[in-house]
Amino acid sequence: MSADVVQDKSIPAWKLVSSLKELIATARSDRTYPKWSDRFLSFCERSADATARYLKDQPVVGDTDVAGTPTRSSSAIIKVWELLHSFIKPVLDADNLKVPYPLVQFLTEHVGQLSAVDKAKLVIEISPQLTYYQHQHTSLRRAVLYLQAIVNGPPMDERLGFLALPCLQSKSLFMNCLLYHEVGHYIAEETGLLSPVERVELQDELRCAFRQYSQHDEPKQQDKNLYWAMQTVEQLMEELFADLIAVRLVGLAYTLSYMELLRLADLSQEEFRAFYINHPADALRFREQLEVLNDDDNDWNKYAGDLPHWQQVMSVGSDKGDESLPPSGYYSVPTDYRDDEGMSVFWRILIDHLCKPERIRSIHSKASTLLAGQKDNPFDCYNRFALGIEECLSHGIVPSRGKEGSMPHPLAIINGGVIFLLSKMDDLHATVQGGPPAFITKRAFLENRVEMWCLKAIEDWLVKRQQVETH
Amino acid sequence: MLGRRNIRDSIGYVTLGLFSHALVDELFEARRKPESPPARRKMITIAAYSLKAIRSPADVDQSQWRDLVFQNYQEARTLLDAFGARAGVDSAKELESTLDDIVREETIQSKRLNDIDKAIKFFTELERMAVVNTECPEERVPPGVRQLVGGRGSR
Repeated sequence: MSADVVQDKSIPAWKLVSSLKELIATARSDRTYPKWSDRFLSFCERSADATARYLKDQPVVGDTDVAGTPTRSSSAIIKVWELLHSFIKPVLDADNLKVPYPLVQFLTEHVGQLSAVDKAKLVIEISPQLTYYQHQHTSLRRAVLYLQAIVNGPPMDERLGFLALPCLQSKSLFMNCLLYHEVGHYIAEETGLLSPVERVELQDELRCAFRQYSQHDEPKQQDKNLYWAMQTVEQLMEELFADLIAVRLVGLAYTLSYMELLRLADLSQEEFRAFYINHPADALRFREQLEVLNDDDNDWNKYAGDLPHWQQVMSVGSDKGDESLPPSGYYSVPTDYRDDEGMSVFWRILIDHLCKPERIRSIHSKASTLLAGQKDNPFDCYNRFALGIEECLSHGIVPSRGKEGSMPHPLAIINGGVIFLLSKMDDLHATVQGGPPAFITKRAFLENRVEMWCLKAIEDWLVKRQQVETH
Repeated sequence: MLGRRNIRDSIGYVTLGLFSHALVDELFEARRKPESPPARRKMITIAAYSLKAIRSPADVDQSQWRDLVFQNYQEARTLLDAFGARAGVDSAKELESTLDDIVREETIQSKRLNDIDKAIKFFTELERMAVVNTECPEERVPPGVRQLVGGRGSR
């Protein structure tokens, strides 16, 4: 085979990486990005350059060297760039003007201080849908390591994590508290939710539970079924874990923002008890969040008792149903499978395994152990500045100063802002003269303002903290 | 999307394809130059150790888990499916021993070259299979799960 023919096969890959390199370079020169996003983009730009060089200089090897061996292919290289592209594009979309910069900056620093994920580096993406998500990165890291070996490329930063928010939330504070749930997924991926021993135990449990149904199957089929069951239970556990990390890190604001999301869907009490294919029932999620929010270190009820959102959380999360029934008698299987008797049986087994008290306890214990060294308790932060923040926001003032002159901690500002949005907007609406004439536009305008004041206060805190550190 | 399915669902296949590509590059180099630099030895050794982990997981040091190649179901399944005549190797044990011989200094040169060719052939096929699998949609729920529970009354 001639060199030309082999090189021809590399042309699509070369064109792909060269275009990506140009795209990234143009975006980085036209816009600014959060620190770790820019570092990631720079890494991709340099890797694309190294890949292009590799493809250009690729030695002609193949059936001229080894009889019967197929010619070297660039398909795997194209695939890894296809994968990298799924990270690059949403990061390119998330420049500083498109993300709530102060919140993102604080969140990155907040998580970076946790000993469990020491020096975590969060890259922000804009989600193509109206959803928040954490982009799994462990396999990306391995893929990049192999790519680096092939093309002699640069190394990627350690502990990079990818969190995505919807493009409509660039100036929002309230709904962006959901990012803390995605931080939970990041921590789960970094630290491993199950130890190897726990994984084997769960695997044995599930194998045992399904044995009566699968004894006539081929071993390969049994493996596949077990893999699916394991993956599903682990995914559901991780969702609960991510909630617990979020409430421990940011406090009540997370639970209220999550309830806000659900209130938009107007779910019935029965629908709150339904599992989804990849999420536990909301009733179970609130029940476990309440365990943290109402523990001895917190007294959120003191501030949130009158909020309709909180009352609904309490109502949904405290309803234990008939405790004589197994969990699958209270929670319902995903809607997709409700009419499928066979799949319903399967799901009920998974629900009962997930809801075992010792399993739920182990998720709580993992979250609490990982955050044991956490410096700032959200409730304590808020408790200290609650009144001052409310007073500032009521008067249209950025809540950057507490009464005694100290600056409110961002965790106090976030919770204060969210509680204000849910309880004091009628007062603010009545106080503020003028603005857009229609009720809905004036209300939306004022809510946006409150969120912007809070973001500004977080920015002030970050600037002040940086000044203190510099001196 | 270049491919027929979301690449995020294929991440294990991409990783496996890429590792195979990297290893074959190293094996071609090893064929041309008999001396083994540490990076090449490390890559071949990791491949052999990962095969051992598939064959006998209990014998593998858990602290090395993160370095293993066949870490998830997609990767392990593709590896097991690759064994056979087309790839020229029948089992993980045979391949592990082939790779061990390549890095062992006492191996005579003619055998070493044969082993390298054998490993090149296998990992080239593994790369091809991994890349093909990135394009093959998998059902979210394995069909066997449906059969399993659907047919429970008759078992």
